[in-house]
Amino acid sequence: MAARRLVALAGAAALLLTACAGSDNEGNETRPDARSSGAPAKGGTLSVALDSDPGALNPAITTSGGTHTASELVFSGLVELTPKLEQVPELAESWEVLENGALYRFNLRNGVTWHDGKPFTSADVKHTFDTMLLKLHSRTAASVGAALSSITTPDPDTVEFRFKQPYAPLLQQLDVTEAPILPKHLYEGTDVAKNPANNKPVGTGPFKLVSYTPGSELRFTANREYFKKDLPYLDEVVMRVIPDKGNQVVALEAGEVDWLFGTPGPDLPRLKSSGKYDFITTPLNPGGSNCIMTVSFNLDRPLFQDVRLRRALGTALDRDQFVDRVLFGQGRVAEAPISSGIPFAHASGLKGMPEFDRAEAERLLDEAGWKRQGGGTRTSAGVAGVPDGTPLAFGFTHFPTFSAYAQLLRAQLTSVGADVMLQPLEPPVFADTVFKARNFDTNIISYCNGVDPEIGVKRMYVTSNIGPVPFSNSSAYRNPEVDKLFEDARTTVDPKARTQIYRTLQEKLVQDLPYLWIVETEANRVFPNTCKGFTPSGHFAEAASCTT
Amino acid sequence: MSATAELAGAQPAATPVGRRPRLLVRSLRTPGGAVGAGLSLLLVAAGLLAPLLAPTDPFAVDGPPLTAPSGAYPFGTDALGRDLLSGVIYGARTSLIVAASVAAMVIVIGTTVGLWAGYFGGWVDDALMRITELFQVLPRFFMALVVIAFFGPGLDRLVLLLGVTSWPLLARVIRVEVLALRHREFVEAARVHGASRTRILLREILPNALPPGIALLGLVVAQVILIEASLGFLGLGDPNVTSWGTLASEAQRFLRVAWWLSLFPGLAILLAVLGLNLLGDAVTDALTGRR
Repeated sequence: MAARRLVALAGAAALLLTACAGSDNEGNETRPDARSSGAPAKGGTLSVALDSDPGALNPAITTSGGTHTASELVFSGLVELTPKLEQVPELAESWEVLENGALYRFNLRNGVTWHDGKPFTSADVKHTFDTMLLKLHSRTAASVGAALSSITTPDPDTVEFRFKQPYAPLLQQLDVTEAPILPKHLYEGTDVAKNPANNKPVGTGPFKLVSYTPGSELRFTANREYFKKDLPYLDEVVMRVIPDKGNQVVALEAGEVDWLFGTPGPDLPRLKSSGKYDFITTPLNPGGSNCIMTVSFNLDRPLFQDVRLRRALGTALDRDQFVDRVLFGQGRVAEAPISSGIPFAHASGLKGMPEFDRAEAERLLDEAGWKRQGGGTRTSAGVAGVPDGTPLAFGFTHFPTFSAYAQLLRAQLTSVGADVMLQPLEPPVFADTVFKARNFDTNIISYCNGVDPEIGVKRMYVTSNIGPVPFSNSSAYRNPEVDKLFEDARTTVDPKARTQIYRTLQEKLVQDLPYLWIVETEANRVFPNTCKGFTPSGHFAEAASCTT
Repeated sequence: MSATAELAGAQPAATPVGRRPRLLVRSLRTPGGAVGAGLSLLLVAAGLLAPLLAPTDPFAVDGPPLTAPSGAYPFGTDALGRDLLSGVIYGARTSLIVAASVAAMVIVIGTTVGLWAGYFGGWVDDALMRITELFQVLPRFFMALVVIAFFGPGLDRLVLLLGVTSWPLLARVIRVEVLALRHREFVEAARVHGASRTRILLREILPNALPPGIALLGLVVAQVILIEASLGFLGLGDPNVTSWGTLASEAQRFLRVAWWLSLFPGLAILLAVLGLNLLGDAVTDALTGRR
């Protein structure tokens, strides 16, 4: 705050100067306004609210949202992804894709130094991948790690990634979130998990850590040696741990923080109408990006083996109500199995996604052999594998945080004669119950698709991925054709051909309905409209600036 | 009571049980007693008649979301569009089920232990009292948290846990009463007449020891209702029944946009607990003859 007051003083001084300069100041613009003039204001402190204490600050050995949010300002990736997922150079100045996608060669930027002054080289890249990312970063390890054959460093400025087969999605997986690069000279020959640098990170990013008080705050100062010209504009970033989202909003409105990673739905309309804040709507969540709230059916249980029942239940769900009443407009109805946030793979205008129609749902249920007895729960009559007279009753397992989804789903399905029992389970218990014990009927999971279907979509459908790993193929869907199509998509580098494969794939999925895709969720970053230049994640404050 | 009244009449020197019902009625005429009885009655009525009183099913998404209290929705609606009045009425039913089941368990366990310990004395008393102390020092709320964390939320396990852990106070009160009663003349008289031990315990001692226990039960039940609501407030209530605590918990997110969501479930909890406490106090006062 002191720094910000200084900025205010500097602003006042500037105002005095222009006043003295006098007549060339046209119109009624009395002070330099960064929003209209375009030139970003320099200096100042940005206060950021964090949901939880990050615990550790090494983003290469975890996918924990808390750690990544708090540490990504310090580090860099080889490639930066713009909010539209275009790849732009970061630590890598340029790259070549060779041998039809089986070999990637990166030319590293010259003259980059770590925050402690040591030079950055290709050895750092190889070391980070070999000892951390490919072993301990679950997403990168599972996708890149499984396909990679070796990493070589012909010279200090060059890194080559060689794959067993052509590997299409690599360039989407080299940003600071999926593959932050850490200094070899601090980690070499140590136990990675216990290295003190995990709490005193040294990176190549736009901000350097000054202090970390666990459970309270993290202070960062601008890296004046940063390789991106003129950046960052801010002098300081302070992250404060404020666990309750309601309190975060209070802190924002009191001017104590300037940036929230998410806006609680009930508060959104009020903040929007106040005219004091700007928003960035983004599909990027701390746990992953492009998440779809997805209902799984336990296909190992006879009750759910008839696709007509699954289609009937899907048709009974009014998904617009989920967008309005659960998400408060922060998201949209899912149009296809793959998120619209992955434009090249998302099949728009897909036929056969269940659309809400209560009368049609009732008809489908009758047709599938589930007859209404009076006004209550339907019972079976001639359903394969289910004794006659069995009530249409099943459990619905969910994280406690998803209880609003569960309650709306129950209300909507009750109205067509299905009896849904809610079973909230804490995340670790949920993972065991659903993926190890497979003791559930239906559930809801936020499946984050990531930036490429290879990262977050394939895991939900391929036969080889049925348990026990958490958040794998929850429905236990088995379709050799689908397995084959995912395999084809991974090794097809031509973007058009890949798009076509994913379209065929989604047509099959919509026919089989192993899942119900409910809504794509979004978050709203919020900040005072005196600030600008943010991106939704990663180095979110790298180009940010604020006027007072 | 009629049996004891008869007995009291036959033996003038015995305990003044016969006067107690009249004292009870008198105690309910005090403002506190009347309010307590009224509120408790309201709780019981709302719980028993919930399906008749509630306008809709408490889980049905029938209305527009977040409407303030109005003619159509006297308590307003929540974010999903559910009628809050129905939720509060069905919440009374949940509170009543938990309270009544726990009370039944407490009465059975508490009186049995209290009677035995007080009547037999000696090592039986010692053993039972050590067990009672063991249960008395168990942190009920945290045990409830642990049980729910392990087995998931559910009314059955909550009732079981609270029933098994809430009886010590009652057992101790009954024991003290029995200790005071067991050498009274009418008990000795029954013994001299050759009455069996069971008969003495159940027909002579129990009816006289029970009333202070019943008064205490009001307070125990109020605590049980509070614990059920607290668990719901922490998000650990059974999602398949409506609970005041759960309603209040869900309301937190909407504190600044929908005051009614917090107000009505909160009021319901307040009034139910207040009512039971007042009733319990009034009965206790009447029995100890302070009024």
